Amino acid sequence: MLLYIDPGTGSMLFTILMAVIGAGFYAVGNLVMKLQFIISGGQEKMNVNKIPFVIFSDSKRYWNTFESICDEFEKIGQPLTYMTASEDDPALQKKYQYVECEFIGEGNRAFAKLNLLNAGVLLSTTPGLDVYQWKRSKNVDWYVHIPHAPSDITLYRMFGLDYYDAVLTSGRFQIDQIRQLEKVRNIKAKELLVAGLPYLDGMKKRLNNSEVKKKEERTVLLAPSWGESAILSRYGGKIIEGLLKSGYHIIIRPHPQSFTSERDMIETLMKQYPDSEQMEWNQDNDNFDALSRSDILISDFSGVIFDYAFISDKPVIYADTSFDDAPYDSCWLEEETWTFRVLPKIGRKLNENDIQHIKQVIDDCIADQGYAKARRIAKEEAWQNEGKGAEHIVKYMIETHHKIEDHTRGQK
Amino acid sequence: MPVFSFLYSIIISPLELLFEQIYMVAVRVIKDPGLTIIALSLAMNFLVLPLYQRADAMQEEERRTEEKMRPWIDHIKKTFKGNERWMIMQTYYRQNDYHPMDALKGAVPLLLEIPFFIAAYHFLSNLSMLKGVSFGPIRDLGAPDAMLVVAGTTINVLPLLMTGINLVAGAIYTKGLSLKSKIQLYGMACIFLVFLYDSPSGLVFYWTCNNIFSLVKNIFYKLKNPRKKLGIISCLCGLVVLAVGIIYPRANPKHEFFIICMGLLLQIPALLYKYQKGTTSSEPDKDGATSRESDFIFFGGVVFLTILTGLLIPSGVIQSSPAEFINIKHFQNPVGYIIHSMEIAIGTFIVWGGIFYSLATRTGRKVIALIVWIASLAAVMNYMFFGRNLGTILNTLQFELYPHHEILEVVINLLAIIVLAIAGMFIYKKKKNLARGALIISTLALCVMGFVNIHDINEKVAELRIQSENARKETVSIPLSKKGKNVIVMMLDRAIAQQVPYIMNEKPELKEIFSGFTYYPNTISYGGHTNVGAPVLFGGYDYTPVKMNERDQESLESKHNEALKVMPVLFSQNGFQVGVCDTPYAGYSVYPDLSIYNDHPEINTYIAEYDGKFNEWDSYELTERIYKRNFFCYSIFKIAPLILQESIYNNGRYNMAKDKLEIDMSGQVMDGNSKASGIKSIFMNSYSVLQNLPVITDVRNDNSNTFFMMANNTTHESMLLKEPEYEPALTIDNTEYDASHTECFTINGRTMHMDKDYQVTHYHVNMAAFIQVGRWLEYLKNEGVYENTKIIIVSDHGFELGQFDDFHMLEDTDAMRFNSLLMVKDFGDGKFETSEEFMTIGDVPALSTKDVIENPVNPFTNSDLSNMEAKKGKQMILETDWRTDVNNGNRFGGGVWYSIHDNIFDKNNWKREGENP
Repeated sequence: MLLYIDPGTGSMLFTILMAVIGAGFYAVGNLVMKLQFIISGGQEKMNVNKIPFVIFSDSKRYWNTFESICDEFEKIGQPLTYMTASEDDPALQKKYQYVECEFIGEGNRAFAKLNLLNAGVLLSTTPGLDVYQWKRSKNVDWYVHIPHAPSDITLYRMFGLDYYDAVLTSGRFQIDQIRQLEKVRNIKAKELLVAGLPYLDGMKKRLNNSEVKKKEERTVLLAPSWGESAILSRYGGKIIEGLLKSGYHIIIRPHPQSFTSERDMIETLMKQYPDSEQMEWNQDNDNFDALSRSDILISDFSGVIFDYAFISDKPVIYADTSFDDAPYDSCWLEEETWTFRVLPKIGRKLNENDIQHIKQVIDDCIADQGYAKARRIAKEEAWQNEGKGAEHIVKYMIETHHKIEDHTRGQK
Repeated sequence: MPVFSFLYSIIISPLELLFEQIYMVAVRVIKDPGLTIIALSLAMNFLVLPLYQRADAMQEEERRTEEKMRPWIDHIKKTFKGNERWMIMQTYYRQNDYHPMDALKGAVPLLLEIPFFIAAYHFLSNLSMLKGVSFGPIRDLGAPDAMLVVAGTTINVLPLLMTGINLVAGAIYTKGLSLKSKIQLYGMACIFLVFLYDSPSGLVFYWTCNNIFSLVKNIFYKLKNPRKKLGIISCLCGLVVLAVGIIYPRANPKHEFFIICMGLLLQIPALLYKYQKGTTSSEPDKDGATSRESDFIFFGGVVFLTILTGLLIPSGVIQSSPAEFINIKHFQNPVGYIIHSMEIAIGTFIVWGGIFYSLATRTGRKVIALIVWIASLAAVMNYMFFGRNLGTILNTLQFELYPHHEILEVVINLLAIIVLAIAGMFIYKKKKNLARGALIISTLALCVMGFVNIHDINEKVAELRIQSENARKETVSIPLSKKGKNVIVMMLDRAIAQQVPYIMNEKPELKEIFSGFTYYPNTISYGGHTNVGAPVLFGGYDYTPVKMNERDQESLESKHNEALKVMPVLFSQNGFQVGVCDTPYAGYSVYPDLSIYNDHPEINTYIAEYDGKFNEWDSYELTERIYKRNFFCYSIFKIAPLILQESIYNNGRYNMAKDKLEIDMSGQVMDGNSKASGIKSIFMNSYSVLQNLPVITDVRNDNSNTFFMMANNTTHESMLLKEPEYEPALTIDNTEYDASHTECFTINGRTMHMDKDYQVTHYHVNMAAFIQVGRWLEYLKNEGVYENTKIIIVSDHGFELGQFDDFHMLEDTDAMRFNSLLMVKDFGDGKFETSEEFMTIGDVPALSTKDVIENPVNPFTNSDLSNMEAKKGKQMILETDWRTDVNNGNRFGGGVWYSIHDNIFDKNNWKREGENP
């Protein structure tokens, strides 16, 4: 009686269950299809909510880059959302019809929003996408970078542009640099295009339209960078002394950062050499006036040097700054940076000995036609599509957006 | 720590099981335990070779990647600080497809070594089979070797030798590697020396073999083109094996098959080399989709196999009769065994399968996924369609009759597997979606079935718990009065009527002991199983299968319960003190539900054998351990191709190599018809009740009348016993006694066959029952209650033992199944007599009430119990499904009707009447 155990046959049950679950799956499959249909409606909604064009500016400083682009969008009547991390971004004061300007919070607050953004094409000058706190959003189709200087694109901190989909450069050599980085890092190739440099376009236009009254006397602009190796820290009163001796008018425009990072040093100097007939400390927000009033620039800050050289076509004297490229993309490339290759050609390098006879140095520089020629060559290399940067960039953005839309439609 | 034990179960247990299986299979072929250790080491090493190769390659790859990344990592560390450094580093890692966790890759070979070591250590250091076994210069593989004695100090040489080999192997391996790697390896060698120094030499020897293997392997890899050389060597060895196999064929075709297979398998490395040479560098980075698909099929497959072997098969076995897997004394819910099987299954398929899979190359993964897919298909096919007629399985997971597969079935099974493999391959290649869907659906189906089983088990267990608690309240007692009348009805389940003369022939003293008994060999049951036999036995002719089916407005269960109450109620109504014990299928439950007597509180109810109360052999912890291991093994046995099943089943031992005692308690394993080892616990439960009959008998010096009705399974749980006492023993060797007692089995030219193991074991348990009941009868005689006690010993049915040439009465079954034991001793005493009168088990109520109750009437149907009209003419016997949880409608369903009248020894009186609807 006891001990008859049938070892759990259940094969019939198994077959029936298979059938039932199979049928269940079919039903669930149908449901999933329906859900997908509904969700795809949702997808449509997602697409409807998608902002086709976004500009992200991490600082109001870049308004000079983005203004002409916004204007271009406004001109063609294409809606654009401008997102800024500066509460006092001038864009917020602009009255556009098609361009919506929005402050999205500073720092991580801005990134938190951007990381979940739902957009088509996003344009930004901010490097380090997907490296630092700013991550790529799954719902942004295309990230486009534009530089804000006509020099090496490799002078961003490491991996600066690696996770952009496209970079619109201002010169051919920048494309070569990016391609080289892509090669050594074995990463996906980006879409690269020479578009131009809107902020230089803007400055140039402004210069052409301006009626700045330039003094008769020769004016020297000293616009140093900041930090221990920068001109004012290194030479301090000595260079101011030398310049004063030259008899030329002097505009000293310290780097804004100096007023916070090396305030003591600057204030001492300002006290020691107060404003006078011959000399002025310039702290304007905008450097335009100082740039246009001067005949020559002395600086150790490459950005200003090239801006100055290209826009005003005036000579430059650059300080002998030692540059450690370890944190920058450029250290991945064996080739010397374009900046350090070109600088000696377009201007005179300032040595400590030169300070004693700075007047001579300035005069020589202004007179040297070799520098003038090199400036033009450098400008042709680094600032292509002059005057048409914004136009090219906007055209690219719109075309890319169309392409993506076509592609998505094709997939459906 | 449940977490620790879970981790042990899923990581170490599968390896231990594997060690055990390989060792046990190898030791059967090789015989010598020392050589078996070498074979074990070789087998394990070859098995894990691909694993280690991959792990080594990964370590190498990781080393190279790190080397390649080193300059920039240093640069970044130097250049950046704080968060920026971390973020830049992450980006750099990302660009190099590197994950900091990848650093662990380098430690994979070392990490893998640990579980293998623990499993080997645990298995070999506890292996009692090695104790006292010498091998070469090693005196005892079960103890430290102590080969050298220097100045009175014994030194174990083998661990030192092992370490020496280990250091050499390490030196070769780390040649040209960093100091870190060298220190790591030498350090490990020293740890092993310390750890194993005092271990049994069997274990150290195993580890030495491993080290020799890795030494050879390392030398090999230093050679040029090692794969080619391996291919050639293996091919040549294979050819030698093949030649030996063909020139000197083995007597055992299985061994011959094994050798041929080995020879062919050894050709694989060469073929692989040839194939891979043709396809090297042809493994471009294909789309990830394919690899994701094979991932899915692999993981789907292993989950499916896990659920099948860990959940469904074990739960199916337990669900069919949960009572048999419960030790009533300890009351452990058998669902625990399912959980444990599940853990081992997870460990085997998901964890270790997953490790092998994840370490495989892309092609390797595809092959593994395909194998898992086909294995899943084959497992279901084998489980559902093959090896289904293995007979009944005992609660020890052993089959009542040793299962043999017909060669034809084995061949069909192999062909079916081949066909399935081809179909599976086609589906895998062309219709991966189908494979995926099938895996998901069937896994879900298995889960549903498994959980339904568990639900059923839990329900039954809850019922049993209440029943057992109720029953345990009272200790069984058989009250017998000295001056009144005592009536005892004892049902011996499946006792074999025709064996009685031979039992008496071998032990003539039993005739004396059974004095006053009349033996009725011409007795029939009305069915082949207890569910049909018991009602008519206890209730009389109103409960023959025909009558039971006629009352089709009532459930079989209620009619069965009613029958079990007929005699107790009747006797009780007539002033008898009534007790019932272990009444079969009360409440249609394997564990009798004695609450059926609740409406008659004057009836004393007892559970005796189901509690194993008297079973001193009961070893609960051992049974637990065995269940935990063997349910999974049973599952593997069920899903394996038939050709492998016998090796896995291993006479019901499932290749268990633990302590002797563990094997013993896992059930009995026979070696021929005269030798056996082990004990069937369930036999002991029943047998111990018969042994204790004198103890539980309460002789009273009063004049009350008593009636006691009991059932016992001693005669049901066939087992080999130690002769001549016919008592259970851990090891039995009856060879001598059997050889000298063959003549017992022929009486007056009528021979009872004792060729088959089940013929012998049934005889043994019947003999044991007679001896134990006999002792009790003597006790009754001594106590002076024999003559005033009427005793009826009866079986509910017989069993088709095929022991008599003149008893083949039916075409399709053996009449022995329907021949019940009936022995009646009326009041008084006398000689042991035999009556040829035609009897049926339906006579029992009449026999028990005769001269005790006047005009006995069934208290439920009001029929006259003494009316013998019913057994005149054709008697209808029903052979039907025995399971009360299946055959539990209002009528007995299915089966075959037979008829018999007057004399069961006349073939003309038997007839097959046809199928039961």
